[in-house]
Amino acid sequence: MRGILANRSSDLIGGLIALAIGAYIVLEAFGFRMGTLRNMGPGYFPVLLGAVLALMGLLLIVLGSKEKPFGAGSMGTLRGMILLGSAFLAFALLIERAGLVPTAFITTFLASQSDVRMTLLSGAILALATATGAFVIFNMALGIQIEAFPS
Amino acid sequence: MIELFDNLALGLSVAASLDGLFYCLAGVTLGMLVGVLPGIGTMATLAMLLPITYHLQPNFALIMLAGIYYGASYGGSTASILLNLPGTATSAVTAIDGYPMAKSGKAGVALFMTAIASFVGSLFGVMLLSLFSVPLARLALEFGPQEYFALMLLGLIAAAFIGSGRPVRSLAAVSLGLVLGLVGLDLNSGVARFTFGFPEFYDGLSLVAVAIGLFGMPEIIASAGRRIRTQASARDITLRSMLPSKDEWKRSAMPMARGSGVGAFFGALPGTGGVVATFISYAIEKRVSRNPEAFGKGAIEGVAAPEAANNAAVQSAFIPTLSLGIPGDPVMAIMLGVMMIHGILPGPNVISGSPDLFWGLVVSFIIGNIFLLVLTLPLIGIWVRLLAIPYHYLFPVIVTFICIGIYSVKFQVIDIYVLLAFGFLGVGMKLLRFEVAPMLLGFVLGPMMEEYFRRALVVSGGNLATFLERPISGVIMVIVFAIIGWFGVRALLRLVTAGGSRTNAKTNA
Repeated sequence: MRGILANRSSDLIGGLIALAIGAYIVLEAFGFRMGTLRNMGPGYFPVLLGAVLALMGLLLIVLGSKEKPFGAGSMGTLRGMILLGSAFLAFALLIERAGLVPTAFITTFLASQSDVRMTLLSGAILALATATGAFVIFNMALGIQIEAFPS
Repeated sequence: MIELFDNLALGLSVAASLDGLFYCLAGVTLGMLVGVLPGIGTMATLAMLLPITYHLQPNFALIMLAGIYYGASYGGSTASILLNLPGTATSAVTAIDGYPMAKSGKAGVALFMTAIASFVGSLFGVMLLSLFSVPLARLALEFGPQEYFALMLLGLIAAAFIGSGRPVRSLAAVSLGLVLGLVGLDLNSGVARFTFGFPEFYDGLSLVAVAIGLFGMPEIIASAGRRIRTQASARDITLRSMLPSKDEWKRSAMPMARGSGVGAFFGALPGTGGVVATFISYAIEKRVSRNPEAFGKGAIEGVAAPEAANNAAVQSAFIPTLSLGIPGDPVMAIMLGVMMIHGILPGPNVISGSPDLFWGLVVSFIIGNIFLLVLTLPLIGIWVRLLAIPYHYLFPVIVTFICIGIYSVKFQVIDIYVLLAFGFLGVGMKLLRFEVAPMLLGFVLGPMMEEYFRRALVVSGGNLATFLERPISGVIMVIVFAIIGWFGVRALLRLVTAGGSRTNAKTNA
């Protein structure tokens, strides 16, 4: 994925994205009442901001250099990104169904596997410790109203 | 003067209470910890601890969050000096001379001087904070919506143009941030804006989820799988080896004083702050030095001045935040966010309306800095050993606690998706070299700015010139235009001199 992207200039891509989002904001905000300068409707300020954003996008596209490399540096690995993302997703999907302890276990375990140095076993141990810690801190100490286990 | 002592006594009663001391110590210790550990930034930590502060009194919540902020700026220099790996952005300059000092066996002296310089700079900043905030807030009571709008605009423009090297990108980020701040029900008309049909978004996007997504996620993603080399050994650093010689004391005194002044000045300006201050104070020291060639090879002046500047800036950044309600950097934006969450409306009324909050915070800064001096000097060995903790055991735990923290604020699953979305946005922005700091600033200021803009134009009957006609807002607007004009002209000149070849024309884009 980075191979394809790297051939394009970050100015161009960034500019296009800014232009697109800016245009979207302007269009969406036109749907609210604009009002007048004296008595502004809910659309007025967002239209202005969307226009500034789009203008900056245009400036980037027009003035941008063609050969600027990406500012990436350390973006981690694709495997890391996917596993980390799935850790957050798992939390969102599970927390209201499975309760705090199982959710914390699975989230920690998935996140730990995004790093190649973590084995399955050490990930599981870390996850167990984290789940226990979460139970002690959030359920026992802070008394936050989240079910600890599926009810 | 007597008033000041009364106020400080009030502050002392808050900050020196058992709870006050506890949250102050907890804050500075945590701050020191994340400052020392490279890979976990101040913003990420603040964002992670935000959920906890929902369950605290606002006084103590702010005392703890502030402690993390200035604690991290103490700790950041440790990794800078020992590993040449700045723990925070503001300590990058310290590495220039601190690391060479460590290599030539003077790590202890460098760390000691850092602690002293940080202490001196901080106290100077706190002093200015306690002297200038009250008159400034009194002046601000006269402010109309025009002045507030102008000041916020100045803050955002300064952050976009001066704080970062890429004004066009930063302006784009600021605008997007402002719009994101508008998400939710418009209070004047009841229209739901940019909510995509989710009623959970009616009172806006969660500040915690947005902040952690933008700042924490890119750090976690970038650090997962990164090997941090840890070669520093604690054995080399004994208390005896830390004591500077008489000559080193003498050489550091003036740089510390100058650094404090420079730092306090830039810290109080909206939009600039610690990073700018450290670079400028380093440049000044190099210029006034009798042997500038020593800089970069372990000059103690090059450690003392920027460290004093950095910490003075950290403290003086609270001046506009607390007296005007205008944050100069994302950390201050978070502070304001916390105040709003607890129902305190930021602005000039904070100091008079909740004196215990303001003065409690001021006194806690003094106490916190004393804590930090104790934490740093005799205990430096512990912190150095912490540098050896493998990051891959830390971040999975951090991920889980972030999720629980965010969820526990409102018990809305959608906030986790917001976090994830902003995480990818943050990573994408980093990839395309957009800065997230101005965006968060815009996010917090968005609703306030719109409100003041509206009100100013209602009052003036739709006359845009009102921003220029009133003296204070007029002066501020002129500064805003001057900044834009200066950068605009510079960019144009560069475009012209580069002729047809655009390759290097727009390095600032």
